[in-house]
Amino acid sequence: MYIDLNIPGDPVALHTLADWLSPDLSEQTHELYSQLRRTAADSQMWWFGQAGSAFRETTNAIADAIDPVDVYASDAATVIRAYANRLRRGQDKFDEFADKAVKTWLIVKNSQVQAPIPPPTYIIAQGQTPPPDYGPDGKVRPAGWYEQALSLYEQIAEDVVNWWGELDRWIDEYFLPLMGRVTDFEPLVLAYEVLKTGNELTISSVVELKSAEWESNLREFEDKAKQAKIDADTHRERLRSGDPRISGPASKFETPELVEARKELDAAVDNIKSGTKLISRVGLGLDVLVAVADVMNGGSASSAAAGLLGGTLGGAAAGGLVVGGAALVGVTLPVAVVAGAVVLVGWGASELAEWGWESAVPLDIREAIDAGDWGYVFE
Amino acid sequence: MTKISVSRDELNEIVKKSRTEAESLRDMLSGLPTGADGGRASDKIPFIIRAAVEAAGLASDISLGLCAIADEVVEDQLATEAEVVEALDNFSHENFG
Repeated sequence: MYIDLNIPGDPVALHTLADWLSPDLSEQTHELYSQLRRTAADSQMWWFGQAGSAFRETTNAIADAIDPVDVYASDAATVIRAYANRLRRGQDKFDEFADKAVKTWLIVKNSQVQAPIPPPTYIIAQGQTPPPDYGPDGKVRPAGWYEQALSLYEQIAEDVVNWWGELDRWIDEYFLPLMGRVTDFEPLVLAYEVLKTGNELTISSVVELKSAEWESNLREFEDKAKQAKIDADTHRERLRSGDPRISGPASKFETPELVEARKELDAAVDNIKSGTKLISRVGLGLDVLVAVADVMNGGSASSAAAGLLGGTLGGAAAGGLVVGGAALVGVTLPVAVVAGAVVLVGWGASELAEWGWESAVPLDIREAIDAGDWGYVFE
Repeated sequence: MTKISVSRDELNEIVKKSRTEAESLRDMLSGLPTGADGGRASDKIPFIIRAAVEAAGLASDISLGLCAIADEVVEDQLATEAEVVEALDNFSHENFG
């Protein structure tokens, strides 16, 4: 039996990713938003009449649709930074466990703490002393070492279970709302469809093939992430199979319903292949959104919400949407609104109660303060 | 057929600024780091990254599309009120917003 102290994940690479999202991507997106607004305003001096007004309405509508993108990138960066810090602090903490274990006569190999084996007992003739108890390092272990080692081993097991349970809960609390907010971009998807209507040739001449440049990078990112997920799942199995103390569900963190809901979410996300378009594929996103809502509800299936969602989808599919004279089948703003509501079902009152502090201080800084990680706060 | 009332040189200048920002955004997307081991969140992070990247890509595309329509005005391919309104009236308040 053993306790695995490895924590998969690369905090440094996650920080690089977060920095790319914000300030890099978020600021450039905001710059585009601001420039479109300026373009609309400036055009009043140079372009008059009905055509000029149509240009300004279009430009402002596009700016409005773009507006949520920089906020999303910035929020995602903050959560990824906080997560990276959490992993780093966890890795430091588990390193300390390993050091302490070695000092308490436990065997640590490849960051795995082996369960202590009780020393052999001897039947000793009167007047004789038992033979010395040598540890694996060749040094004599003092009497009572086993009890101390076992006590520490059990303490480490409990701390490891708690750390992983809290991490899973944290991932649910902070990553899932970001996944739910994929609906923030429905107006942008809709705006693009509307602009294209009647202007297909003009637009395709400037945007076609261009996205291929970043799509290939994104696919590479996704392929590597798929492998990282396989590695993380293998680690989870190893962690649970290493010791019965860690093998059962940590009941204070997980109910059977929550475990099931997480499995369904994993399956929904696993169905998404590398390179699959996400924000423009409502059907694909909805599977994930319903699963996200279920996990955020602690696994109590939001069947009413899911039913509502299904009903809305059916209606949208039957009638389509008519916007600007064009039937935009598959572009379903009302679905986004309902899906957003489904996700919001999972938001607890406690999040709202903490709103003041949370809105004033970014998540990564708040957590660093809570953890006493002053180096990060003041760097 | 009412001709539009526009200063084409000035329009060209202000549209150029939006195009520059949209192209900078598109170029920036190519700088996405190609790997970041997210450990146990390795399935959720790519979902979020794809949402952000696709949205930013779409923001760039739609802006470049708008600039391309404006270019047709500058180049006099769209010369009348009716032609421009036909190209852009989908965004009138009755239909959108």
